Amino acid sequence: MALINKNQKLSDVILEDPSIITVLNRFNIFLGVGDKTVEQACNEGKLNSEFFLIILNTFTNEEYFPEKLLKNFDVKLIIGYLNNTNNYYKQFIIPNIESHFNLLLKRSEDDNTNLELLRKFFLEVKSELLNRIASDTNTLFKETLLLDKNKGNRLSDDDIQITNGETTDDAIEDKIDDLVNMFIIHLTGKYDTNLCVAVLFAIISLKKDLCQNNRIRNRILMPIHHYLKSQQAND
Amino acid sequence: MTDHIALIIVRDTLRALGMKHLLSSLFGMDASIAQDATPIASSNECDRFDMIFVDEYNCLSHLDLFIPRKSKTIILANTDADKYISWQHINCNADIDHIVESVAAILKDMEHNNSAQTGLSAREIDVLKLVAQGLTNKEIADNLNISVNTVLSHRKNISAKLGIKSVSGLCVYAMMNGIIN
Repeated sequence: MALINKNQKLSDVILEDPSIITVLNRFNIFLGVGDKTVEQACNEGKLNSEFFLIILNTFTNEEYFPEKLLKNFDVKLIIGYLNNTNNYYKQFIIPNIESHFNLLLKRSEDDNTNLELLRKFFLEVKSELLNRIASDTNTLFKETLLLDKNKGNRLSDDDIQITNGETTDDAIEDKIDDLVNMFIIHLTGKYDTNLCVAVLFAIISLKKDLCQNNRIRNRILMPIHHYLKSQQAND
Repeated sequence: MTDHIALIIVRDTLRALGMKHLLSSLFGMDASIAQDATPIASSNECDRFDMIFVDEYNCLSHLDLFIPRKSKTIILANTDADKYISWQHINCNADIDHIVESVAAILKDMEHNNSAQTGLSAREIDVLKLVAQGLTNKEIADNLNISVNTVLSHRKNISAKLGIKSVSGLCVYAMMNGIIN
Protein backbone atom coordinates (compact mmCIF):
# COMPACT_ATOMS: atom_id res chain seq x y z
CA MET A 1 0.00 0.00 0.00
CA ALA A 2 1.37 3.42 -0.99
CA LEU A 3 2.16 5.82 1.84
CA ILE A 4 -0.43 8.49 2.60
CA ASN A 5 0.71 12.01 1.76
CA LYS A 6 -0.45 15.43 2.91
CA ASN A 7 -2.09 16.34 -0.39
CA GLN A 8 -4.33 13.30 -0.44
CA LYS A 9 -8.02 13.72 0.29
CA LEU A 10 -8.95 12.40 3.71
CA SER A 11 -12.01 10.68 2.21
CA ASP A 12 -9.76 8.72 -0.18
CA VAL A 13 -7.55 7.70 2.74
CA ILE A 14 -10.61 6.34 4.55
CA LEU A 15 -11.93 4.56 1.46
CA GLU A 16 -8.56 2.87 1.02
CA ASP A 17 -8.56 1.48 4.58
CA PRO A 18 -11.77 2.15 6.56
CA SER A 19 -10.22 0.89 9.81
CA ILE A 20 -8.24 4.15 9.86
CA ILE A 21 -11.42 5.97 11.00
CA THR A 22 -10.68 4.82 14.55
CA VAL A 23 -7.23 6.46 14.37
CA LEU A 24 -8.67 9.69 12.97
CA ASN A 25 -11.07 9.80 15.92
CA ARG A 26 -8.06 9.91 18.26
CA PHE A 27 -7.10 13.19 16.56
CA ASN A 28 -10.65 14.53 16.89
CA ILE A 29 -11.44 13.96 13.23
CA PHE A 30 -14.80 12.30 12.69
CA LEU A 31 -16.87 11.10 9.73
CA GLY A 32 -18.18 13.76 7.38
CA VAL A 33 -14.66 14.83 6.34
CA GLY A 34 -15.85 16.54 3.13
CA ASP A 35 -13.20 16.99 0.47
CA LYS A 36 -10.46 18.23 2.78
CA THR A 37 -6.91 17.10 2.19
CA VAL A 38 -4.82 15.67 5.01
CA GLU A 39 -2.95 18.95 5.31
CA GLN A 40 -6.14 21.03 5.44
CA ALA A 41 -7.58 18.78 8.15
CA CYS A 42 -4.37 19.15 10.15
CA ASN A 43 -4.39 22.93 9.84
CA GLU A 44 -8.02 23.05 10.85
CA GLY A 45 -7.48 20.84 13.89
CA LYS A 46 -4.12 22.45 14.75
CA LEU A 47 -2.41 19.09 14.41
CA ASN A 48 1.25 18.42 13.72
CA SER A 49 0.84 17.15 10.14
CA GLU A 50 4.18 15.34 10.09
CA PHE A 51 3.34 13.38 13.24
CA PHE A 52 -0.22 12.78 12.01
CA LEU A 53 1.00 11.34 8.70
CA ILE A 54 3.55 9.08 10.38
CA ILE A 55 0.89 7.71 12.72
CA LEU A 56 -1.53 7.05 9.85
CA ASN A 57 1.15 5.37 7.76
CA THR A 58 2.40 3.33 10.71
CA PHE A 59 -1.13 2.13 11.28
CA THR A 60 -1.86 1.17 7.69
CA ASN A 61 1.55 -0.28 6.78
CA GLU A 62 3.06 -2.96 8.97
CA GLU A 63 6.40 -2.59 7.21
CA TYR A 64 6.56 1.16 7.78
CA PHE A 65 8.02 2.25 11.07
CA PRO A 66 10.31 5.34 10.98
CA GLU A 67 11.82 4.86 14.42
CA LYS A 68 14.30 7.75 14.24
CA LEU A 69 11.71 10.24 13.03
CA LEU A 70 9.25 9.25 15.73
CA LYS A 71 11.84 9.56 18.49
CA ASN A 72 12.48 13.15 17.44
CA PHE A 73 8.92 14.26 18.17
CA ASP A 74 8.01 16.00 21.40
CA VAL A 75 7.37 13.32 24.03
CA LYS A 76 4.09 15.07 24.93
CA LEU A 77 2.84 14.45 21.40
CA ILE A 78 3.68 10.74 21.58
CA ILE A 79 2.14 10.30 25.02
CA GLY A 80 -0.94 12.27 23.97
CA TYR A 81 -1.50 9.88 21.10
CA LEU A 82 -0.89 6.76 23.23
CA ASN A 83 -3.24 8.13 25.85
CA ASN A 84 -5.98 8.72 23.27
CA THR A 85 -5.45 5.20 21.96
CA ASN A 86 -5.80 3.73 25.46
CA ASN A 87 -8.99 5.74 25.93
CA TYR A 88 -10.29 4.37 22.65
CA TYR A 89 -9.69 0.82 23.92
CA LYS A 90 -11.32 1.60 27.26
CA GLN A 91 -14.32 3.55 26.03
CA PHE A 92 -15.11 1.96 22.69
CA ILE A 93 -13.48 -1.22 21.57
CA ILE A 94 -13.53 -3.22 24.84
CA PRO A 95 -17.17 -2.31 25.68
CA ASN A 96 -18.07 -3.05 22.05
CA ILE A 97 -16.61 -6.56 22.22
CA GLU A 98 -18.19 -7.15 25.61
CA SER A 99 -21.69 -6.06 24.60
CA HIS A 100 -21.57 -8.17 21.43
CA PHE A 101 -20.30 -11.11 23.46
CA ASN A 102 -23.17 -10.76 25.94
CA LEU A 103 -25.69 -10.60 23.12
CA LEU A 104 -24.08 -13.58 21.43
CA LEU A 105 -24.48 -15.64 24.61
CA LYS A 106 -28.06 -14.49 25.03
CA ARG A 107 -29.01 -15.48 21.49
CA SER A 108 -27.15 -18.80 21.38
CA GLU A 109 -28.27 -22.23 22.53
CA ASP A 110 -28.23 -22.65 26.30
CA ASP A 111 -26.07 -25.76 26.11
CA ASN A 112 -23.27 -24.07 24.17
CA THR A 113 -20.91 -23.76 27.13
CA ASN A 114 -17.99 -23.05 24.80
CA LEU A 115 -19.14 -19.48 24.27
CA GLU A 116 -19.34 -18.86 28.00
CA LEU A 117 -15.79 -20.19 28.40
CA LEU A 118 -14.60 -17.90 25.60
CA ARG A 119 -16.35 -14.94 27.20
CA LYS A 120 -14.63 -15.64 30.51
CA PHE A 121 -11.32 -15.84 28.69
CA PHE A 122 -12.06 -12.49 27.06
CA LEU A 123 -12.86 -10.99 30.48
CA GLU A 124 -9.44 -12.15 31.70
CA VAL A 125 -7.77 -10.46 28.71
CA LYS A 126 -9.87 -7.34 29.29
CA SER A 127 -8.82 -7.14 32.92
CA GLU A 128 -5.12 -7.49 32.03
CA LEU A 129 -5.40 -4.87 29.31
CA LEU A 130 -7.18 -2.41 31.61
CA ASN A 131 -4.50 -2.97 34.26
CA ARG A 132 -1.82 -2.20 31.72
CA ILE A 133 -3.63 0.93 30.62
CA ALA A 134 -3.97 2.06 34.23
CA SER A 135 -0.29 1.42 34.82
CA ASP A 136 0.62 3.37 31.66
CA THR A 137 -1.55 6.31 32.68
CA ASN A 138 -0.53 6.45 36.31
CA THR A 139 3.10 5.48 36.05
CA LEU A 140 4.76 5.30 32.65
CA PHE A 141 3.19 8.36 31.00
CA LYS A 142 3.19 10.46 34.14
CA GLU A 143 6.79 9.73 34.98
CA THR A 144 8.07 10.16 31.41
CA LEU A 145 6.42 13.58 31.22
CA LEU A 146 7.95 14.50 34.57
CA LEU A 147 11.40 13.35 33.49
CA ASP A 148 11.07 15.26 30.23
CA LYS A 149 9.94 18.42 31.99
CA ASN A 150 12.78 18.24 34.49
CA LYS A 151 15.58 17.46 32.08
CA GLY A 152 18.70 18.69 33.86
CA ASN A 153 17.00 18.83 37.26
CA ARG A 154 17.53 16.04 39.76
CA LEU A 155 14.26 14.26 40.69
CA SER A 156 13.76 12.38 43.94
CA ASP A 157 13.48 8.57 43.92
CA ASP A 158 9.83 8.95 44.96
CA ASP A 159 9.11 10.60 41.64
CA ILE A 160 10.60 7.74 39.66
CA GLN A 161 9.02 4.38 40.38
CA ILE A 162 8.59 3.09 36.91
CA THR A 163 8.12 -0.62 36.55
CA ASN A 164 9.08 -2.51 33.45
CA GLY A 165 6.07 -1.70 31.28
CA GLU A 166 6.96 -4.35 28.71
CA THR A 167 6.32 -7.35 30.94
CA THR A 168 2.69 -8.16 30.20
CA ASP A 169 2.41 -7.09 26.57
CA ASP A 170 3.30 -10.43 25.07
CA ALA A 171 0.96 -12.22 27.42
CA ILE A 172 -1.94 -9.97 26.43
CA GLU A 173 -1.17 -10.26 22.73
CA ASP A 174 -0.70 -14.02 23.00
CA LYS A 175 -4.06 -14.33 24.73
CA ILE A 176 -5.81 -12.24 22.08
CA ASP A 177 -4.21 -14.44 19.40
CA ASP A 178 -5.44 -17.50 21.29
CA LEU A 179 -8.94 -16.07 21.53
CA VAL A 180 -9.05 -15.41 17.79
CA ASN A 181 -7.76 -18.93 17.05
CA MET A 182 -10.32 -20.48 19.35
CA PHE A 183 -13.11 -18.82 17.41
CA ILE A 184 -11.63 -19.66 14.04
CA ILE A 185 -10.31 -23.17 14.67
CA HIS A 186 -12.02 -24.67 17.69
CA LEU A 187 -15.53 -23.25 18.05
CA THR A 188 -18.27 -25.89 18.16
CA GLY A 189 -22.00 -25.96 18.89
CA LYS A 190 -24.82 -23.75 17.71
CA TYR A 191 -24.54 -19.98 17.86
CA ASP A 192 -25.80 -16.79 16.23
CA THR A 193 -23.56 -16.52 13.18
CA ASN A 194 -23.84 -12.75 12.67
CA LEU A 195 -23.09 -11.92 16.29
CA CYS A 196 -20.25 -14.41 16.38
CA VAL A 197 -18.64 -12.77 13.34
CA ALA A 198 -19.19 -9.34 14.93
CA VAL A 199 -17.38 -10.44 18.09
CA LEU A 200 -14.56 -11.99 16.09
CA PHE A 201 -14.11 -8.89 13.88
CA ALA A 202 -14.03 -6.64 16.94
CA ILE A 203 -11.37 -8.82 18.59
CA ILE A 204 -9.29 -8.92 15.40
CA SER A 205 -9.56 -5.15 15.17
CA LEU A 206 -8.31 -4.81 18.77
CA LYS A 207 -5.49 -7.24 18.02
CA LYS A 208 -4.31 -5.20 15.01
CA ASP A 209 -4.62 -1.90 16.85
CA LEU A 210 -2.79 -3.16 19.90
CA CYS A 211 0.02 -4.55 17.79
CA GLN A 212 0.54 -1.18 16.02
CA ASN A 213 0.19 0.71 19.28
CA ASN A 214 2.73 -1.49 21.06
CA ARG A 215 5.30 -0.64 18.40
CA ILE A 216 5.05 3.01 19.37
CA ARG A 217 4.84 2.29 23.09
CA ASN A 218 7.67 -0.24 23.27
CA ARG A 219 10.03 0.94 20.55
CA ILE A 220 9.59 4.69 20.87
CA LEU A 221 8.28 5.68 24.27
CA MET A 222 10.09 3.06 26.38
CA PRO A 223 13.55 3.90 24.96
CA ILE A 224 12.82 7.62 25.45
CA HIS A 225 11.81 6.88 29.00
CA HIS A 226 14.91 4.79 29.67
CA TYR A 227 17.09 7.48 28.14
CA LEU A 228 15.54 10.24 30.26
CA LYS A 229 15.88 8.07 33.32
CA SER A 230 19.53 7.31 32.63
CA GLN A 231 20.13 11.04 32.22
CA GLN A 232 18.65 11.54 35.68
CA ALA A 233 20.97 8.92 37.09
CA ASN A 234 23.98 10.63 35.50
CA ASP A 235 23.07 14.10 36.80
CA MET B 1 -1.79 -51.35 28.42
CA THR B 2 -3.86 -48.17 27.96
CA ASP B 3 -3.14 -44.90 29.78
CA HIS B 4 -6.74 -44.64 31.04
CA ILE B 5 -7.66 -44.67 34.71
CA ALA B 6 -11.22 -45.63 35.57
CA LEU B 7 -13.56 -45.11 38.48
CA ILE B 8 -16.32 -47.61 39.12
CA ILE B 9 -19.24 -46.30 41.17
CA VAL B 10 -21.52 -49.25 41.78
CA ARG B 11 -23.57 -50.21 44.84
CA ASP B 12 -23.26 -53.92 44.11
CA THR B 13 -19.75 -54.99 45.29
CA LEU B 14 -19.57 -58.14 43.17
CA ARG B 15 -20.54 -56.23 40.04
CA ALA B 16 -17.89 -53.59 40.83
CA LEU B 17 -15.21 -56.26 41.36
CA GLY B 18 -16.22 -57.99 38.13
CA MET B 19 -15.94 -54.74 36.16
CA LYS B 20 -12.59 -53.91 37.78
CA HIS B 21 -11.25 -57.36 36.89
CA LEU B 22 -12.50 -57.09 33.29
CA LEU B 23 -10.89 -53.67 32.81
CA SER B 24 -7.64 -54.78 34.34
CA SER B 25 -7.26 -58.20 32.70
CA LEU B 26 -8.52 -57.41 29.20
CA PHE B 27 -7.74 -53.71 28.80
CA GLY B 28 -4.84 -53.18 31.23
CA MET B 29 -6.71 -50.38 32.98
CA ASP B 30 -6.34 -49.43 36.62
CA ALA B 31 -9.68 -48.84 38.32
CA SER B 32 -10.82 -47.56 41.71
CA ILE B 33 -14.11 -48.57 43.27
CA ALA B 34 -16.71 -46.53 45.15
CA GLN B 35 -20.15 -47.62 46.27
CA ASP B 36 -21.74 -44.22 46.57
CA ALA B 37 -21.33 -41.09 44.39
CA THR B 38 -22.39 -38.73 47.21
CA PRO B 39 -18.93 -38.04 48.72
CA ILE B 40 -17.44 -37.83 45.23
CA ALA B 41 -20.02 -35.26 44.14
CA SER B 42 -18.80 -32.79 46.72
CA SER B 43 -15.15 -32.97 45.61
CA ASN B 44 -13.21 -32.88 42.36
CA GLU B 45 -12.38 -36.56 42.77
CA CYS B 46 -14.04 -37.51 39.46
CA ASP B 47 -11.75 -35.28 37.47
CA ARG B 48 -8.77 -37.53 38.21
CA PHE B 49 -10.33 -40.28 36.13
CA ASP B 50 -10.58 -40.71 32.37
CA MET B 51 -13.64 -42.97 32.53
CA ILE B 52 -16.42 -43.35 35.07
CA PHE B 53 -18.47 -46.53 35.12
CA VAL B 54 -21.59 -45.88 37.15
CA ASP B 55 -24.73 -47.87 37.94
CA GLU B 56 -28.18 -46.50 37.12
CA TYR B 57 -29.04 -45.65 40.72
CA ASN B 58 -25.93 -43.54 41.36
CA CYS B 59 -26.17 -41.88 37.96
CA LEU B 60 -29.81 -40.87 38.36
CA SER B 61 -29.20 -39.71 41.94
CA HIS B 62 -26.33 -37.44 40.88
CA LEU B 63 -27.18 -36.20 37.40
CA ASP B 64 -25.60 -32.83 38.26
CA LEU B 65 -22.31 -34.67 38.69
CA PHE B 66 -22.53 -36.85 35.58
CA ILE B 67 -24.16 -34.61 32.96
CA PRO B 68 -21.14 -32.28 32.76
CA ARG B 69 -18.94 -35.40 32.54
CA LYS B 70 -21.15 -37.20 30.06
CA SER B 71 -18.32 -37.76 27.58
CA LYS B 72 -16.47 -39.97 30.03
CA THR B 73 -19.41 -41.54 31.85
CA ILE B 74 -20.52 -45.09 31.02
CA ILE B 75 -23.75 -46.32 32.60
CA LEU B 76 -23.77 -49.93 33.75
CA ALA B 77 -27.39 -50.67 32.89
CA ASN B 78 -29.57 -53.66 33.66
CA THR B 79 -31.05 -53.64 30.17
CA ASP B 80 -30.20 -52.32 26.73
CA ALA B 81 -32.96 -49.79 27.22
CA ASP B 82 -33.58 -46.90 24.83
CA LYS B 83 -33.64 -44.47 27.72
CA TYR B 84 -29.80 -44.45 27.73
CA ILE B 85 -29.55 -43.89 24.00
CA SER B 86 -27.74 -40.56 24.40
CA TRP B 87 -25.33 -41.96 27.01
CA GLN B 88 -22.55 -44.48 26.61
CA HIS B 89 -23.82 -47.61 28.32
CA ILE B 90 -23.17 -51.29 28.82
CA ASN B 91 -25.88 -53.85 29.36
CA CYS B 92 -24.64 -55.82 32.39
CA ASN B 93 -26.99 -58.70 31.65
CA ALA B 94 -25.56 -59.31 28.18
CA ASP B 95 -23.17 -62.21 27.56
CA ILE B 96 -19.45 -61.73 28.28
CA ASP B 97 -18.45 -61.33 24.60
CA HIS B 98 -21.01 -58.59 24.13
CA ILE B 99 -19.82 -56.75 27.27
CA VAL B 100 -16.16 -56.96 26.20
CA GLU B 101 -17.06 -55.71 22.73
CA SER B 102 -19.01 -52.81 24.22
CA VAL B 103 -16.11 -51.74 26.48
CA ALA B 104 -13.64 -52.03 23.58
CA ALA B 105 -15.93 -49.94 21.34
CA ILE B 106 -16.33 -47.24 24.00
CA LEU B 107 -12.56 -47.07 24.57
CA LYS B 108 -11.92 -46.84 20.84
CA ASP B 109 -14.51 -44.07 20.49
CA MET B 110 -12.99 -42.10 23.36
CA GLU B 111 -9.50 -42.31 21.91
CA HIS B 112 -10.77 -41.46 18.46
CA ASN B 113 -12.76 -38.49 19.74
CA ASN B 114 -9.80 -37.14 21.65
CA SER B 115 -7.38 -37.35 18.77
CA ALA B 116 -9.93 -36.35 16.13
CA GLN B 117 -10.90 -33.23 18.03
CA THR B 118 -7.39 -32.16 18.83
CA GLY B 119 -4.95 -33.92 16.58
CA LEU B 120 -2.99 -34.42 19.78
CA SER B 121 -1.33 -37.67 20.80
CA ALA B 122 -2.39 -39.41 24.03
CA ARG B 123 0.81 -38.16 25.72
CA GLU B 124 0.20 -34.60 24.54
CA ILE B 125 -3.31 -34.80 26.00
CA ASP B 126 -1.77 -35.96 29.32
CA VAL B 127 0.57 -32.95 29.27
CA LEU B 128 -2.21 -30.56 28.25
CA LYS B 129 -4.36 -31.82 31.12
CA LEU B 130 -1.61 -31.05 33.64
CA VAL B 131 -0.74 -27.68 32.06
CA ALA B 132 -4.40 -26.73 32.28
CA GLN B 133 -4.45 -27.74 35.93
CA GLY B 134 -1.72 -25.16 36.54
CA LEU B 135 1.25 -27.49 37.11
CA THR B 136 4.76 -26.23 36.35
CA ASN B 137 6.95 -27.97 33.76
CA LYS B 138 8.94 -29.60 36.57
CA GLU B 139 5.78 -30.88 38.25
CA ILE B 140 4.46 -32.22 34.94
CA ALA B 141 7.78 -33.98 34.31
CA ASP B 142 7.70 -35.59 37.78
CA ASN B 143 4.06 -36.53 37.40
CA LEU B 144 4.56 -38.26 34.05
CA ASN B 145 8.07 -39.57 34.75
CA ILE B 146 9.57 -37.74 31.80
CA SER B 147 12.26 -35.03 31.54
CA VAL B 148 11.53 -31.31 31.62
CA ASN B 149 12.90 -31.08 28.07
CA THR B 150 10.35 -33.65 26.91
CA VAL B 151 7.59 -31.63 28.60
CA LEU B 152 8.81 -28.51 26.79
CA SER B 153 8.83 -30.36 23.51
CA HIS B 154 5.26 -31.63 24.08
CA ARG B 155 4.12 -28.12 24.99
CA LYS B 156 5.67 -26.72 21.83
CA ASN B 157 3.86 -29.33 19.74
CA ILE B 158 0.56 -28.73 21.53
CA SER B 159 0.75 -24.97 20.88
CA ALA B 160 1.69 -25.52 17.25
CA LYS B 161 -1.15 -27.99 16.66
CA LEU B 162 -3.84 -25.97 18.45
CA GLY B 163 -2.69 -22.44 17.64
CA ILE B 164 -2.90 -21.64 21.35
CA LYS B 165 0.12 -20.33 23.27
CA SER B 166 -1.02 -19.05 26.66
CA VAL B 167 -1.71 -21.28 29.67
CA SER B 168 -5.14 -19.64 30.13
CA GLY B 169 -5.93 -20.34 26.48
CA LEU B 170 -4.87 -23.98 26.82
CA CYS B 171 -6.97 -24.27 29.95
CA VAL B 172 -10.06 -22.90 28.14
CA TYR B 173 -9.39 -25.25 25.22
CA ALA B 174 -9.11 -28.23 27.58
CA MET B 175 -12.43 -27.31 29.20
CA MET B 176 -14.12 -26.77 25.83
CA ASN B 177 -13.11 -30.26 24.79
CA GLY B 178 -13.88 -32.07 28.03
CA ILE B 179 -10.18 -32.81 28.70
CA ILE B 180 -10.63 -31.17 32.10
CA ASN B 181 -13.79 -30.05 33.82
